[in-house]
Amino acid sequence: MLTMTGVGHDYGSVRALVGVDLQLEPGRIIAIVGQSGCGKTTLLHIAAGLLAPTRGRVENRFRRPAYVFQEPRLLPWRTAWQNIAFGLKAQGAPPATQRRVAETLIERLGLAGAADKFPHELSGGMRQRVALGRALAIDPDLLLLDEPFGALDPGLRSGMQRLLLDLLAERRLAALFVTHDLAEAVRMGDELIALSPAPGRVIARVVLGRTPATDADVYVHQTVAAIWPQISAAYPD
Amino acid sequence: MRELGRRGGDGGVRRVEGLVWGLVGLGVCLALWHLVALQYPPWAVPTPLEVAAELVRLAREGALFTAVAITTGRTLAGFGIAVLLGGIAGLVAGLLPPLRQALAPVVTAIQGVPPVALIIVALLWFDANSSAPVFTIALAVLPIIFAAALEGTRAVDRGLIEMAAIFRAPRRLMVTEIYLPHLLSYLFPALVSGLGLAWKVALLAELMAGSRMGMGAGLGAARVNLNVAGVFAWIAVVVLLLLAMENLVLRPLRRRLEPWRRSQEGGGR
Repeated sequence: MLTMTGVGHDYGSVRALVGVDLQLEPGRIIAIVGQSGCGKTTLLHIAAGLLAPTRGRVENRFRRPAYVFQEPRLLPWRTAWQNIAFGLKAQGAPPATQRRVAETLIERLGLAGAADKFPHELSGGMRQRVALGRALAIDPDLLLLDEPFGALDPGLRSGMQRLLLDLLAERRLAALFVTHDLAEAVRMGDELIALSPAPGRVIARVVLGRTPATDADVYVHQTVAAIWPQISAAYPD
Repeated sequence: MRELGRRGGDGGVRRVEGLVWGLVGLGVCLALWHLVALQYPPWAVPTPLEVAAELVRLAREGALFTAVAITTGRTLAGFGIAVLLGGIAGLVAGLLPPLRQALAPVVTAIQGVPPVALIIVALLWFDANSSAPVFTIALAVLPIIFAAALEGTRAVDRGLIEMAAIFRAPRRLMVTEIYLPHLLSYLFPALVSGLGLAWKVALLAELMAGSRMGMGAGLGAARVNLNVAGVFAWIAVVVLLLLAMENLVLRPLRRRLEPWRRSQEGGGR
């Protein structure tokens, strides 16, 4: 469980984040939505323990957070499977384990045949799947995703969203999913937190009632339409 | 390998085309040389054919191969020392800003010393027939390698470093997985120009030191005997050796060390 109480952060004299409360339970997904520069990445860095907040309290009971960036950030000189195994290698896992875990993930992520290819030989979507594999390989209990599909074509996005939701459900992972796309946030989250423009503060908090039975597209449209007035008020443009 | 096959056709044509034009340029130069040489007596300006004949004579006598072996040994020894010391110093200086600021003026100073002056110092300190050329080469090449290693280390992708830190990679892994592979691609042009410099300095050092053996010694002997064709022959050997080193050793080495680049090469990057 991850609990943030009144968390705020300043970079020097610049306020980035103000009074954020958040509670993430195991297996749940919180989508954080807001425009660029609203402190979303700062919030993720605080959740990952990379940054100590200037104000407020963070209690993190998750033991193994893993991170997916907007860009794949793969090592260009390592093959797909070696990139997936990077986190394991960093932990000192034996090569046989690295290979075995990477192979399982390559299969699951639909990257069959790409194991020995270098990043520049892969498409953008495949690269991002490798980056996702790298995060999953260390068997995390919390996944921190910083606009993971932000650089992908719209056509690829829905497939990746589906894949990620399935993976999170299979492994009962908790996730903080940061995006600037409200529809994506509604599609991915169990709960949605909207941040204002900088300095980021919580302007809307919506518990989403998505179940496997609901028609995803209709639900997303209706929910976005319902929340939109509340959020657009905070963004004059 | 599959990628190589797919792009091979396109890249192959371009490579052959480049080779043809290269040969044309070389041929035109040789022809011009020949025409100019015909205007002068052979002892002043030899024709390419006379130089080739001199090369064959040197090779027959056996002096050529010992000289090449000795000079190559010295060049590679000095070059190796420079790569090792310069590479490590550059990497460490790139990682530690205070050290970088401390070393930068020192290296600039060394770079400012002309190789000829280095040779004279080396002759005072070392044995003219063995260590003096090696020392001179190492000191002349070191700044080039150091500068490239330093810049390479500083130019490492911050995103990758942040990624590795988030995955809690130990420092040792950051060096082997990120800094070294990145450095290698950055270092390669410096290695090529450093090797060329090493060769030139080797000849200079041997010539000035009056070494008994080596290509510099052969060049010196040809000069004393007023054997212009011989001088040209030794120069040709140096050029051929340099080309062979670059194309038969360094480039294959790079392909081996950087398989991830292989399929990019034909793509015109």
